[in-house]
Amino acid sequence: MCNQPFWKVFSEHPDCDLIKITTNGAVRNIKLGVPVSKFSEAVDMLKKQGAFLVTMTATDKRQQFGIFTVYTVFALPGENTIIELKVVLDAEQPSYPSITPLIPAAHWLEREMKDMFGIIPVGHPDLRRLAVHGDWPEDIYPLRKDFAANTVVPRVTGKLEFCSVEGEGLFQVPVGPIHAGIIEPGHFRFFTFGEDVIDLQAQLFYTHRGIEKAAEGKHYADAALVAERICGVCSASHSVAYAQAIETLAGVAVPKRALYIRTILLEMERLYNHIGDIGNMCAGIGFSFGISRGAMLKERLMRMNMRLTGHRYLRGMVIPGGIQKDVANTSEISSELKEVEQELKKITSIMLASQSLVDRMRTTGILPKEVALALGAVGPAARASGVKRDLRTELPYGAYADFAFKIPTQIEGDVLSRLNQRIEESEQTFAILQQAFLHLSEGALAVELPNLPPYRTAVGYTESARGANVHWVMSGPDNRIFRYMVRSASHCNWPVLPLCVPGNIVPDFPLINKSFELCYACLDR
Amino acid sequence: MLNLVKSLINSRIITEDSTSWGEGFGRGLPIIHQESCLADCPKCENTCPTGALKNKVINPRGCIFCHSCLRSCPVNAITETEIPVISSSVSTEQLGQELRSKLKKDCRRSLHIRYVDAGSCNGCDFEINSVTNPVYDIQQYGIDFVASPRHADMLLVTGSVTRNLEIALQKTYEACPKPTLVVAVGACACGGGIFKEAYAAGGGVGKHLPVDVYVPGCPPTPALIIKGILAAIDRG
Repeated sequence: MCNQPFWKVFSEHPDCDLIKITTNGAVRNIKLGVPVSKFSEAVDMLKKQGAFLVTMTATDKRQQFGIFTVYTVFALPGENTIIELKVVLDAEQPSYPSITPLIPAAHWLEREMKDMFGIIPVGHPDLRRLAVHGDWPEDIYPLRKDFAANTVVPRVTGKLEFCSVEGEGLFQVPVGPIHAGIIEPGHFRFFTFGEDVIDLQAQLFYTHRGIEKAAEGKHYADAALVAERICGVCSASHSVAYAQAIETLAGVAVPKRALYIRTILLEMERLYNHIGDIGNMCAGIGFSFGISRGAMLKERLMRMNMRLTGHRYLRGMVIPGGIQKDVANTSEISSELKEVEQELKKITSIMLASQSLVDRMRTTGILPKEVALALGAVGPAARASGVKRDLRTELPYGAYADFAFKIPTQIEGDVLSRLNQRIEESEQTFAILQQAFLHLSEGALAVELPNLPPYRTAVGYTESARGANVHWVMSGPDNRIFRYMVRSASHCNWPVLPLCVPGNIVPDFPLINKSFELCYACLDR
Repeated sequence: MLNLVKSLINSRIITEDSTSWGEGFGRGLPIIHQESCLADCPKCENTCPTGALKNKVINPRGCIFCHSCLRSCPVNAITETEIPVISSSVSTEQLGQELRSKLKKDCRRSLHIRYVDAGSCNGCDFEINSVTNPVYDIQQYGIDFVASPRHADMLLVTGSVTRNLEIALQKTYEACPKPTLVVAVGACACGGGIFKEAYAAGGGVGKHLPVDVYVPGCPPTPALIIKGILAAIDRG
């Protein structure tokens, strides 16, 4: 039985229902309906086959079919397969057995579903609120369909909930939500003994705007503008992930030129983020040379983005179906990239030659490989801990299969590894960009999309500068969005970051935080 | 160490100022040329995702600079123009205008800013970070960012003022010495942006605080942000 593919075992089971198998490029999509009673078993089986969790969300289809539905998406690495499990829940008492005990990476996703839909994951070890704060009234679930997007929700009395950490001589240090520097808002609660951090807990979702609700009911073309504005510095990867989900729903193939331009946008975005982060990590230790040189190089890249697309953050380029606007000055940009590459080499060699920099970064904020795997960490943070996972090669999308590049990894998982990881990834990005510019062929920029079939689901994903960026879409009638779920890389990595801080001292937190460089806006939505 | 010193010696000054910006003010504000516009054509108005375009006039505070209207126009009657920074003449604050003028005068050469992210996408915040980089170097104008609102003459606010940040923003404003200049940066802060109808989005800074200057843009470029800050202290 074990030799048979997992989905076959289940699709032959009388209670289960193989909904659809499709292929999208090199990737196979399997959709499987599983009864609630079989859900844990199915997840366990997937786990044993080495699958990792991609995203998990719910829909409220009480008005249409009298049900809630939970969708859990897994990827089988090595088999180029995405498996979506669909579980139908009762409309009155929606609950299902929690999968967090099996797959800890699901723990924030399940808490979020409880906050947003009132769906109870039975057996979840920590059902505190996550996405709504203490002043949100009980029994109001914003992603249910009977909650109007523009509802004014009253405030009730409530406070931040933290797990208790007790002991003689322990202090609590509250920080945020408004911070001293120019960074995004979040509340951190340090439990310290002297300067040593014993525990760190984070209360996030301060910038929660209700984006997923705002996208519901919008035409898919209008929702693309929303996707682009979820995060300022992952604009391209969000808009490409969204566009890919819509294109899968429509069943169209994007022209080659558009795919190559998308690759250029995605890699330019990775580059300005990585180089900005390399400089910014120096700010965590006060290494001024690195700060200013990193900032100058990043500014140069932003201006290259401007000349390439007319926007420093590459907005207004990607639409479902292809690319809206052609790129300009490509030959000039590709030769300037060579200069940037040399400059980056110079800066990083000077940085790494500084013993004080290396001393501060080595053994600071270690993310052990087992933790990264268990909690589903993604992106450079996971790869710096030795987890070789990158959606560009694991589940190839767009034009990435056409390019030769390596996925570097590190071993130690400390701040220095994450710095080296970004340096090495940038080298690969330069290589991809040169290939993409060289082979950028003439041709159409976009295809017309046919009408979307209603109540179908699709998943689109990209590997952003921070890691896997997954957009899950369910279409509604009249080409409108019925449900839109965004799981960004920061959503995967935020639960991981606080675990890397205990054992370090409080002043190391900014450095550790910068080495992960997570978005708050991407998480909070 | 030797390489570091060598690199420092070989570098040149790259700081720019308002007479030498190395790039423009970015994607512009759409403008409708009434003379070539078709009288009964509703296309641009229907396509506007935020409702900023009404009766053939574009409200720069509501625009998210997606340029959907530009593309929708069948006769190409819409082009783009430089994004304006908007000084708000109506101040709801009780403190006299005289005191405000004095503050502006006092802060002309030494302005301290407290920045607050009230729920932005991080784009505006990255651009505010950029104004401190060696290229834009906002300190050349005598302007600096401070860590505490107690030291601030100006609040620089990004984001649409989300439900979970509304109280934090109010508290920060109250902690500032009065009168306080308020500058709203970006489309979300200026008019609520594309999320303005969502239950937690908040609708923009103007609904929560008296705003002196609005800097539209999605996000506004560093040069435009500097222009907006200078406009607030009458140095525009």
